[in-house]
Amino acid sequence: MSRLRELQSRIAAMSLGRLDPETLAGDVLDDRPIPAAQRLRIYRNNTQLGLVDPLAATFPVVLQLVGEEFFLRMAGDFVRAHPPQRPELLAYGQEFPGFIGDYEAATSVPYLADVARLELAWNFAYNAPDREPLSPRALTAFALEELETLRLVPHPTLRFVASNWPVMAIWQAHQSEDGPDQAIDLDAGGDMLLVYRPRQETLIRKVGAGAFAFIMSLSARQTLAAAFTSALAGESDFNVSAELSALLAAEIFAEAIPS
Amino acid sequence: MPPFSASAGIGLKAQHMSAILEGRPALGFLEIHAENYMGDGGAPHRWLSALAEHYPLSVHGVGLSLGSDQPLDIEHLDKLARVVERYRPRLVSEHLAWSVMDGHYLNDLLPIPYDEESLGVVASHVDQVQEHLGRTILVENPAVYVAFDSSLAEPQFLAELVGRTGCGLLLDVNNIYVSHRNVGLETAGYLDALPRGAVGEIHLAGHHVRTIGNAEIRIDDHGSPVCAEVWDLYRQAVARFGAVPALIERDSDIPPLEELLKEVETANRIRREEEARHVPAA
Repeated sequence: MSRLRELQSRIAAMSLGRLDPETLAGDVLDDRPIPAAQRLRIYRNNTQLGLVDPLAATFPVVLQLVGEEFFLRMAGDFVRAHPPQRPELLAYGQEFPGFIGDYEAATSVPYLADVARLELAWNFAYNAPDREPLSPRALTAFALEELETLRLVPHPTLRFVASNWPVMAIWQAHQSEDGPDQAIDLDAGGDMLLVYRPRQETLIRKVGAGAFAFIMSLSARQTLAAAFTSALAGESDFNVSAELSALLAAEIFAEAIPS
Repeated sequence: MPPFSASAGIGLKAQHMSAILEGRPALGFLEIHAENYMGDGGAPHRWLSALAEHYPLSVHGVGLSLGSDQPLDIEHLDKLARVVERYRPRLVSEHLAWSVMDGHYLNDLLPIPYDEESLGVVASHVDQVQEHLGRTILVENPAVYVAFDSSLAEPQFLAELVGRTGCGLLLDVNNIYVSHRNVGLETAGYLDALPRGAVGEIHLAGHHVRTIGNAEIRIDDHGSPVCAEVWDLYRQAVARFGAVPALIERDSDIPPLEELLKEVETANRIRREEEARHVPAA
């Protein structure tokens, strides 16, 4: 290993908190008036804050829910455990919701991990490729017998979020800096959400168990008939024609492929 | 593409986008961090495309890690190439620093020793980037808190890099000052050691002074106005390198747009004064 590579390897470990700055003090010329280890700690601090910042940008509601001090500690622990592998910070934090779910100190906020999942889905849709949604009238081009085997492709920005908590209300209540102006009923029940961006705005749509299963099935490239069967399993009185036209009007699809 | 005016530019921040589009302040150019536009679609690209109709752009990368002694991340280089292809900027720049090692990205700009070994690594990476993008890039001098045992002084290292790769330089005069105060980087002769035609852009920013024990260290946080000593270095840089595009950089504690425009005006005034002093007598 080259001298440079060996040095960089140790500085990287130091910056991520895996090596004591003192062990690198001899590699650094400057020791006065500020000791070398103190100088190296500036880099450690910059690295860790520099990785917490993009998490704060992707998870602003989580930050608001737990406050800055707690977020800094929790995100700092995450950064040290899961530093990004590549210079790809727009999507950094894929493991953050799972990490929050296991984070001992956050157990008093049981919905926190699901709020993080919603924010991750929102961030994905926000940066995903632009794609013209399917026209709500597109299905009129098909004969009735063609519809059964039609594959309706959901919009590529779409992500699913299911939670036992009312995460949509929690998310909405924290869209201003000031936080919620009224208490959220945590016993209001869970949410099944479709997060997507058909045009400019990123949207969150709350749906029933039937529609959720229906779109999931279509996402897995099932036919309309098969998706209808899945929907009925989720919701026995699923009204396919009403639900389908509502979803079409919401521009949730990108393409209709006849088989 | 809108023409480069002589005016200084600013680093583009999301909170200023609509004010810039509405007010169209006289700015020489807008600089973006390449990594913020590496997403596939959505609002960032919509805004930037609208702004690019009115202002020339400069793409400033922070993630390539030219100084890492390991192969460049080709996927990242491809993404940079896509941003450059999409927006056709006037300038493309990166840092004389490193941030990737052992499969981790540190999102910081870490220093390198200035010696033959580092020069070989950085030069081969700059060659690769320039070949991939099909254009020359500017390489920026760093702000440092430590220095390593080095056989070359920083400006000699940069001059040598220019000679080997044909790259240009992004001269950050705040970084020169911060490194001068932190590790005793020699400022006398620094500008003269750089080849005159190589400097393609100048960065101007603020830093903050942190006290550790009884001693001061200057942190390059781009979070405050440009200080007097840095304006003075800018004046010297204009005297030597002429009216190259100058940028007001502010990345934390972002003030209202008007405050940055005042600094742009200061930069423009200094440039005009220096130009007037150097106009040959008729």
